[in-house]
Amino acid sequence: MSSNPREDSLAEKRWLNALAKGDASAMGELYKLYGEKIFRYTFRMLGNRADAEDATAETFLRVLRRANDLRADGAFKTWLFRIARNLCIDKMRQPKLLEISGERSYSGTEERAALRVTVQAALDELPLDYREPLILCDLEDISAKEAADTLGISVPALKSRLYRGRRALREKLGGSLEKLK
Amino acid sequence: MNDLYRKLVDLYAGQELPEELALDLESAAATDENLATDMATLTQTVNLLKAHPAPEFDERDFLRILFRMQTMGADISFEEAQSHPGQYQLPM
Repeated sequence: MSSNPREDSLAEKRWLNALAKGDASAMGELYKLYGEKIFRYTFRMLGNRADAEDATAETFLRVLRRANDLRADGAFKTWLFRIARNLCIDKMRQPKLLEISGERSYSGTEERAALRVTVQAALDELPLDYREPLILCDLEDISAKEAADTLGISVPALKSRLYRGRRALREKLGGSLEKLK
Repeated sequence: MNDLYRKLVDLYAGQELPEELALDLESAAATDENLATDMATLTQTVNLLKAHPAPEFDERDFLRILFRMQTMGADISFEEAQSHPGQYQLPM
């Protein structure tokens, strides 16, 4: 993925058109363009690498299955995130045979790493309605419009959840914020 | 702190307030300890979130997911042979 959104948008259009025409390389190029973003999002939602890899693979497989319906109308990214989100929610609902935890590791000084663990733990404790807007808007830096479309809600509803989520997270962080002063 | 201030602080912490309004709010906070604390802690929370590191994703992760898709029957190739991240380069 390039650091230039305009280049990415042009590449996306090109590969979506190619995919609709049956070009076998188009899927690979779309995966190169969005694979990391989808993996990061699913990892943040699910909290472990194996499930995130599964969800990412399944997301792109679903795109491939619906290649003929795709349109290069600028809504592909949102659609992709929506598929990934639905897969994550399905996975969250499945009973877990073995809870895998502690897969996240953080670098930096001991103090910084500890703070990151605390932030992650606080995020994990939030209800999904609050956690999702925080993941999309604050962690993944996705626009409010795209995040709202991904969640299937209006922009004002997204913002309301985002602001409440930030306040709820602050409450959970309480003492850790005090230490930062 | 009233509802209006609360909404303004939400916008302030997300850097969505126009500069002039942000300055007005900072002035108001100079004489209102509750408002000042609300602004500082919420801004800290947002900053912590924005600085929270992304999960690592390297070439091995890229390939592992690619192989998963391929074992599930997906026919995935890349535009140019050189761009395939897993391709073994034959020695000359």
